[in-house]
Order: sequence, then structure tokens, then C-alpha cells
Amino acid sequence: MRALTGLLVLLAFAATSAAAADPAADYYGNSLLCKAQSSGAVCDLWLDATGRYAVFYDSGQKAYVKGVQGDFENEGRTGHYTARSTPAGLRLCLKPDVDAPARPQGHSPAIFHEAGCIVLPHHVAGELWTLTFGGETYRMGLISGR
Amino acid sequence: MLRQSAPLALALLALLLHTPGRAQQSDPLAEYYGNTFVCAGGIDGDDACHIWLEKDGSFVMFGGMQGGHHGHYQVGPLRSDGQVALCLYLDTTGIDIPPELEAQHPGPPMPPPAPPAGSTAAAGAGSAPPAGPPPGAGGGFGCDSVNFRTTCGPGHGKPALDAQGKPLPLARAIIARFHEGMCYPMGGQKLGEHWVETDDPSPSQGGKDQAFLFPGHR
Repeated sequence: MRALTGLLVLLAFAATSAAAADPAADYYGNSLLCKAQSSGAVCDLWLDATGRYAVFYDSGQKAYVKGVQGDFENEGRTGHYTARSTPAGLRLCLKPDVDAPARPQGHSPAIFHEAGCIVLPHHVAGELWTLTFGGETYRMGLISGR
Repeated sequence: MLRQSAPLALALLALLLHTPGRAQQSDPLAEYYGNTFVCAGGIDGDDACHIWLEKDGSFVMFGGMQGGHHGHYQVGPLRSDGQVALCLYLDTTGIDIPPELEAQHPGPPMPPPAPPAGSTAAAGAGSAPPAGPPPGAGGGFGCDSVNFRTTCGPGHGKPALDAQGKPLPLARAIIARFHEGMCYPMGGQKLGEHWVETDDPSPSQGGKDQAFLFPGHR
């Protein structure tokens, strides 16, 4: 009986540790929003516990007609990510799906668009902060829900 | 008896095994799964929606709605033109975004203040993709869906209001409408196609929409 109790305690501790060890746990089910301060364009990043991510962009109304082969805005993409906790924050490395097209010059915010890594300071849902990436200043916020 | 019926049983088995492939081929939405359906204004070409439709009945929609949102859909009966009426239901009523993170131009312009009689989309003779988001905040403009057909216009549905009874901002009004369900005819197109639909329920774009089917998630 004592052994069983000890095993249960160990299992509970292991489960708690595993949950605490997930550096991206605060992002699951929530939305990481960004807004480029120079253009006003916004983005919305989702991280899922499966290791998949999705990001959506809105760079505002575009007063031109697009074509399938033409100057079309790429407003979203999906891919895989890895996340690791560092003293500076969450080191997030994104790898877009192979079919993700390149970002047209001057279109959506560059952040989260290409393959690469970025460090996100530790924040919980409801907090806002400022981040510089690729020469652009972004207002960031981790918002509850999707 | 068993020996006599064996060929028949084998034929039935072969038919059963072959059926899923044939069913898949006839799925009018097959080209949509894993790809991106985009609707844009028929006049100004502005992005109105991006939809990632999945075979499991779920979708993600974004564009003019303050980020992406999950949803699920229902498919109506196959029509003679090869399309199906598709009703889209967002699983959310939206999230609260601080003003400093809001998009400044979340979607197409507002519809005229007094549009003509209600227009319809979905199960009828015409065809309309999820065309521009339905007209947004304000007035008595609403939409309702009956038998896989959505009708929008003054006096239809219920206006999108906040808890205080004020019209919701456009982005939230669009989300609210899609939370209630919006039906459109879809399907039958090929990947890479660009076409124009002429019975968009949104009057702000002359009742027309441009539609695109792009490979992958964009």
C-alpha cells in the first residue's frame, strides 16, 4: 500500500513537471497578436501543443484587383515550430510548410513569416509589450482565446 | 450454394472497396481541402476572407476579422450544377483585443445605409462563394439561414449588437454573423482557378465577388 502511494505521488509529480516543462504552454488556446508600428499591419500567431503553428496577417484594405499569378497578398501560413525556454524568454523557431510562398516585398509584417528563430520575453495572457524584429517595432500582446 | 455465391460476394467486395475512391472523386469540395479559398471584393479586389477548409468538417477563417478563427461547417445536398450549399459556423464570438493591437482597416467598406431588398446566397440557382463578409455593424441589417440558404438584408436576422445593445464594430459583427451561420454555394472549382461570382449577398461590391483557390495555406 505504501509503495502504491509512493508510485502515485511520483506519477503526479512527473505529470506536473512535464506540464511545467512545456515552455509554450501559455500560448496554447491563446492568440499572440502583433502590430507593426510603422504600417499598422497586424498579425495573429497560434501555437498548438502538436508542434504546429498558424499565423495570419492583416495589412489593411488593398485597393487593387489581384490575380492568381499576380500580386496577391499572402495573408496566412502554417508550419512546425520548436520552443525552448531561455533566460531571455521563449526561443521560438518556426519552419513554414514547404508550400508556403515567399512574402511579397512590402506586404504583411515580416515577423513570423519566414523560417527562423525569435526570442519572446516571458509574458502571460493579458500582457502587452514592445518587440523589435527585422528593423521594425511591434506592439505585442498575448490575448486569451482565439 | 457457398461456392455458387462466391463470385457475387467477390464482386460486391470489389465494389465496396472501390466506392471510397469514387466518392472522393465526386466530392465537390475535394480541391478545397488543405488549400486556401480566398474571396475578394468584386469591384475593389480587396481581401474579404481566407478559408482553410478541412475534410473533417472544420475550417479556419481569417481576413478582416481581427485574426484567425476556428469553425465547423455543414454541407447541404449536391446541386445540379455540381456545387453544394455550405454553411459555415465560427466556434467563437471573437476575442477582446486591446485598441493598440487592433487592425485599422479590418475589411471592406461598409454597405450603403439603405440597401435594396434582401439578397440571397447558397442553395438556390445562383452560386456565391463566401463572398465578402456580410455587411457589418449598424442598422437593422442582418442575415438568416433557412434550408442551407442565407438571406441578408434589412429586416433579416438579428442585428449584431453588443451587451449594451450598441452595434458591434465591423470585425466583431462579421464574426457574430458567422457564429450564427452563413451559407454559400461552393465547390466544383479546380485548384488555381480565379472566378467571379455574381450573387454575392454583400451589396457593397455590386453583388459580385472574385474568388480564388490557392494551393496550400496562405
